[in-house]
Amino acid sequence: MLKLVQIIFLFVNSLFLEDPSFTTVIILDDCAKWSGRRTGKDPSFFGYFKLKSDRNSVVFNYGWMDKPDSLTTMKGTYAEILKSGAIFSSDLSDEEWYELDDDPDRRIFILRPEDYCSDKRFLYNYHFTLYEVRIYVSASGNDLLPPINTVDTLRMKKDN
Amino acid sequence: MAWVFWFRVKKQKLTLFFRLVYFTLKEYLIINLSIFYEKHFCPPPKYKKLSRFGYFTLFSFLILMSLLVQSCIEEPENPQIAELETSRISQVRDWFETNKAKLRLPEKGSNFRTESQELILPFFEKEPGWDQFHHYYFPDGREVFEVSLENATMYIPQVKEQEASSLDTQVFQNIIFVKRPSDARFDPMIIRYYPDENTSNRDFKEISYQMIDDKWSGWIDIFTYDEHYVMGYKVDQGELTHTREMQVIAENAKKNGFGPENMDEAIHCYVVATDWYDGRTGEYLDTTHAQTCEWQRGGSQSGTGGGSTHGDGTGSGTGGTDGGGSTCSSCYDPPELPEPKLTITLDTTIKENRRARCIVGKIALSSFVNEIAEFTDTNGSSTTSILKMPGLLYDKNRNPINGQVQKINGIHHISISSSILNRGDLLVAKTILHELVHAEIYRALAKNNVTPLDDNFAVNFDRYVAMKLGDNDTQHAYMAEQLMEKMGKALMEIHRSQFPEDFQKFSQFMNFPGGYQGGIPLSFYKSVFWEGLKETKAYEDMIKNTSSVTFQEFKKADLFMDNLTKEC
Repeated sequence: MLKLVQIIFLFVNSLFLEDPSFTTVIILDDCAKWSGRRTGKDPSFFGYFKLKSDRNSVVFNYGWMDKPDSLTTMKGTYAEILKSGAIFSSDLSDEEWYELDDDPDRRIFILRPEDYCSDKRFLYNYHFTLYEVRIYVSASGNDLLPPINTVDTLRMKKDN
Repeated sequence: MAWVFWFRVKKQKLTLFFRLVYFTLKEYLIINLSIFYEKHFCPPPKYKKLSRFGYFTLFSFLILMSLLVQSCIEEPENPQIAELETSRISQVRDWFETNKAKLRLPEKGSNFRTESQELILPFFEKEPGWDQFHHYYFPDGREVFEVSLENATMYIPQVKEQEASSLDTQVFQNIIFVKRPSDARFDPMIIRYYPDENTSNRDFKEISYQMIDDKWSGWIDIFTYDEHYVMGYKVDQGELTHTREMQVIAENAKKNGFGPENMDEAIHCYVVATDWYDGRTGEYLDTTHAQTCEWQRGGSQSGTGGGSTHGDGTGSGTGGTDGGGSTCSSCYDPPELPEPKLTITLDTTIKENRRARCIVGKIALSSFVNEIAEFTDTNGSSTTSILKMPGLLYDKNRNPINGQVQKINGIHHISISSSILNRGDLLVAKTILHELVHAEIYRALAKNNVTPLDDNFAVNFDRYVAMKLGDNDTQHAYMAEQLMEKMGKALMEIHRSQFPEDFQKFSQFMNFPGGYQGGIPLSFYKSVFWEGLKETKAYEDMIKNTSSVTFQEFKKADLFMDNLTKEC
């Protein structure tokens, strides 16, 4: 009987346990580096573009052609946003950008630069809107590897 | 609304708590359930009764053994296929027997080799050994029969002032018959194989013109049926490293652009005096001067020197026309050897991935890709490249990359990262196209600098080689400055014709002020290629000038391309 309870617990628990789809809030604080524009027929769609230090680009998009119903927003005061463990875009290294891009389960919300770099930040109890976005970090271009000749490699190994 | 925000953020912490509880219980359960499982489903041997399973086991064992024994018996070759092959070679033999007396290039008026000082060795009647042949197809689809000429006279070249090659190397020659697509002619060429050392000795079955293994080293010379020298290749462990052309008088050769030593960085050509001997009698025949060209720096071949139109002999300039452009249909017409082309075998990682397979299938139909590559499912002797998707890919600095090309034992391994399948179809196509162009550049460098990518490839590419940027950046700089237009147009054509639904939707979606109101422009397709060209000066210049149209277009494309869909 105890074992049956254990199995039922395991089953129920697995139903409630979510995949680790974590949420990350990014504050686009290096406002001058981000350029935004409308990205679709729907005027509420927008995107932000920035060149990273390694010359690759980062793009955030809110609103896209397929699955428009998946758009989500959240609201919170600046203090609440900071408490939630929000990160600043200016703090992210090139590797960290790639890590964010690598995790398809992660939900990313951004605080737009024009909101952050405005006096709204200093208004008491002002509720910012955070937008759920898709991230695109362009890849490295070092795609040619030196040729290999296994015969040579074997010979070299043998000689050594 | 604040509570909604808090709930979302706190959910992470709740999830962590549940996970902790879950793992603790899991450990406990594993121990208990193991005991439960062992008892009920996997009892120790003492519970088993042979009578319950004995007859069944014995019966199964006998069937298994019988299958094993049967599988060891060598089955005879499929008789139908063998019959068909024999019937095809009979056709070749019949044609040869009927036409062999006419297999001579005209004395004058031939534009096959216009140089007056070409090397023509003494002609002898050839009797192919019809029972030994290879049957294959050139990448352009022409049918080829390579037949042994083992017992015929053999000519041996010997470089002056160099020791004769080891006596136990087995030089051999074959005659190849290439079926003319328009009619039932099988015009022949002679292929002579001169192994460097006895480790490169091969049986007939082990080597052919389109199947040279990665351990074979030596020279391969190509002659017309009537012994006009066409071209030679040096093969070093399966890879072409030199080409050579023969002229009888060195002075004349120099007039045609042969130099004693061309120290150009990209070209290293030199003239080698070569004596020719009759392989049977040892009789001295002639001395020729071979312009030998070696490519350097890991596969960058010359081939531009010498003023020859013949390239490496497999190129488009090799033979193929009757004298003076006459329409003599029965005259000997030395066949052109294969046009340089990548033959790309799809690895199982691509074949078994429905989406990747679909995208490759679509881009294979585009005219741009068709010009440079042919995709096959099976790995054959003509395979020059393998397309695969081994998982996530990273560069040497552990930064993710979308694709990668590496030449391994003469085969280009083109890999695409599984991560790009998260992107729209067109972006996957773009990555494959980018890597294909790398493979094609490598192929052109290793052959005769002829590529459908660029009519003036040798000169254009050498400009970037001269900058000493290294392989990666040289090719990318060349792509950015010379091929962007062509690649952009190719991608545009692929989008319109192969992904019509996505093209339609994307065009409509982008039809807004500040978007692409006049339709998707070429600049969009060109811009998406910048992703793989970040190390180039062209890119550097572009991003420095942020107000330039090119940069604005690039930025726009980067933002908009997220809307490309997954039609496949």
